[in-house]
Amino acid sequence: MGGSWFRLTTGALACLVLITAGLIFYELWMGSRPAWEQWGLSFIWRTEWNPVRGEFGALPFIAGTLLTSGMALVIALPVSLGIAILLTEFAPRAVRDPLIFIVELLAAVPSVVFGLWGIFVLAPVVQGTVMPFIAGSPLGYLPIFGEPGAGYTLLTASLILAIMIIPIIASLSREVLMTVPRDQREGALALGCTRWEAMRHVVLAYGRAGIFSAAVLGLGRALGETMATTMTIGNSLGLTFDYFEAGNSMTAIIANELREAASEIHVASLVAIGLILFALSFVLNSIGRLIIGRVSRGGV
Amino acid sequence: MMPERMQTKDLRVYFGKTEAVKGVDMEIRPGAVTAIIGPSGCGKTTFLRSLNRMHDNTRSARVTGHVYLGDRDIYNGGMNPVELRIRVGMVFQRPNPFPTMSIRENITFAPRRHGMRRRSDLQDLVEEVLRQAALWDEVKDRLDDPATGLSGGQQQRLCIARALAVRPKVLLMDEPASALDPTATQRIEELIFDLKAEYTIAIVTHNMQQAARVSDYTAFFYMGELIEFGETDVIFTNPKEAQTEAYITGRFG
Repeated sequence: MGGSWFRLTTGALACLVLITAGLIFYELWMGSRPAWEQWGLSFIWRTEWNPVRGEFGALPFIAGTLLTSGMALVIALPVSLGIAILLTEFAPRAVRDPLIFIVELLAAVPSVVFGLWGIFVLAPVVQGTVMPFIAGSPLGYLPIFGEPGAGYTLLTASLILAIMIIPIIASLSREVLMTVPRDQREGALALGCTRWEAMRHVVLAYGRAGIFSAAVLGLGRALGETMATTMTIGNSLGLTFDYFEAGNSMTAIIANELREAASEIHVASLVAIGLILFALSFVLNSIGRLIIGRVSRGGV
Repeated sequence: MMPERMQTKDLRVYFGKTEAVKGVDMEIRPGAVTAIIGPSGCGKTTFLRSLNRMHDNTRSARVTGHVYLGDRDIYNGGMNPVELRIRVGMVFQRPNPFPTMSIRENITFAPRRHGMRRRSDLQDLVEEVLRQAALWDEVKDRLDDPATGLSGGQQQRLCIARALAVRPKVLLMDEPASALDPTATQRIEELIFDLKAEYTIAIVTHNMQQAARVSDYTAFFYMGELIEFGETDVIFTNPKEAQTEAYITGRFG
C-alpha cells in the first residue's frame, strides 16, 4: 500500500521532468516555425544577420559558441586536472582545505560579476598583454589568431568561460580520482613507480571516463553561459574564426536582441537559435554518455 | 640473482596515537618462505606493509625503528622508496590488475617506466615471468586482451608475474589467496613453493593450514607484538608460548 503510493508519486515526478523537456522543445519549435518555413535547414549555415533587411542566419552564433566553449575547455581541462591531482595526491591539509574553499567559491560567483571583471580587468589585459604575447609567439602563426585589436574578443570570452568552468571540472575530477580504489594506486607504487607515474598512468587511466564526463559537463556549462559571454565577446554580427576579433554567441544574440526584436521573423529567428542551442546541448550530452559507456571498461 | 635477507629492529608503526606494531625484532631469511599469522587486527599486515614503505603514503601513519634490506637501513636514509620497491615487490589481498591495460601491458608497464625499451627484451620478459607465475599456457594466445577478462585466480597470478617483472629480491604477499576459491588457492601455494628458490618471500595469512603448507618459518603476531618466531614445524607441533598454542589449536582468533 505505502509502496505503491511511493512508486506513483516518484513516477509522476519523474514524468514531470520529461514533460517539461518536451514542452520546452515544443514551444521552441512553434516559436521558431516562421524562420524554418522561410529558410528551411539552411538557416543553420546562413551567415547573414540583418534585422533591417529581414535576413537571418545562425552560423556566426553557432561558430562563436563552439569556438569560445571549445577554447574554454582546452584551457580549463589541464588546469582543473592539475588542481584535482594536487588536491587528492600532493597537497598537505594546510594547503588543501583553503584551495578547495577557493575553488568552490569560484563556482558561487554570479556570472554578471565575472562579466564585470571581464570588462574592467580581463579585456584590457587581453588587449595589452595576452594578444601581443600570443601574436609574438609561435602560436601566432596558427590561423585562428589574426591581428590583435580591441579587448572584446572571442579569446576574452573563452578565458572568462574557462575560469567559470574550472570549479566544475576540478571538483568533479577530484571526486573521480578519490573513487579510484586505493589498491590501484598502491599496485603501481609497489612496482617502484613514483607517485607521479602512478597518478598519470594508473589512476588517471582508471578514472578517464569520469574525467571525460566532468569535461562534458563543463562544456555544457560553457555552451549555455550567457551573461559573462555577452559582456565580453564583443557582439559583432559577422562570421569569424579569429580569436582576436569580436564575435558573438547563440546565448549573447538572444539576450541582446530579443527585447528589441520588432518583426515576427526576427523573433522567430532568435527562438530558432534557442532551439539549435537546446539540440546542441542534447547531442553533446548524448555523445558524452556514449563515450563514457565505451571507455568505462573497468574504470569509473 | 641472489635473494636477500630482511631484518627489523625495534620496528614500531603508529596510526595517529595508536601503536599498531609494538617494537618488533624479526628476521626474514633469504630464499625461504616466512609466514606471518595471527588474529585480525594483530598488526601482521601493518608489519608487512612497513617492509616496502607502503605507509609512506598514509598521512596518519608513522614508522620508527629500523628495517634492513641486506645491510641497508631502508628508513633512515639508506634507500629511497622507489629503489626499495623495485627490490621488494608486493602482492595484494585482492587481485588488482590495471583494468585499462592488457595482460601484456600490465607486465611491461613498470619495466618500461624503469627504462626497458626494446621490444624483444619486453617480449622475452613477458614470457619469462608468465611462465614463472604458471600462467603462460593459459594466456599466451590472448596477451593483448584486457587483464580484467581473466578469472580471479588468473588475475592474482598475473599480479605475481607483474611483481616479478621488476626483478625483486623479496616478495611480500598480503593474504594473496584470501579472495580466491580452493583450486586457485592451491595453484598460488604451489607457485609460492616454486618461487622460494629465487626469492625471499614473506606471506601474511589468516589460514593456518596454508601457513603450515607453504612456509619454512612462521611468525605469530598478537596485539601488535611478535609473540613467537621459529621453524614452521616447531611452531605448529611444539610451540613455546601458550598464546601461540591457543591460537593454532583454534581456541581463539
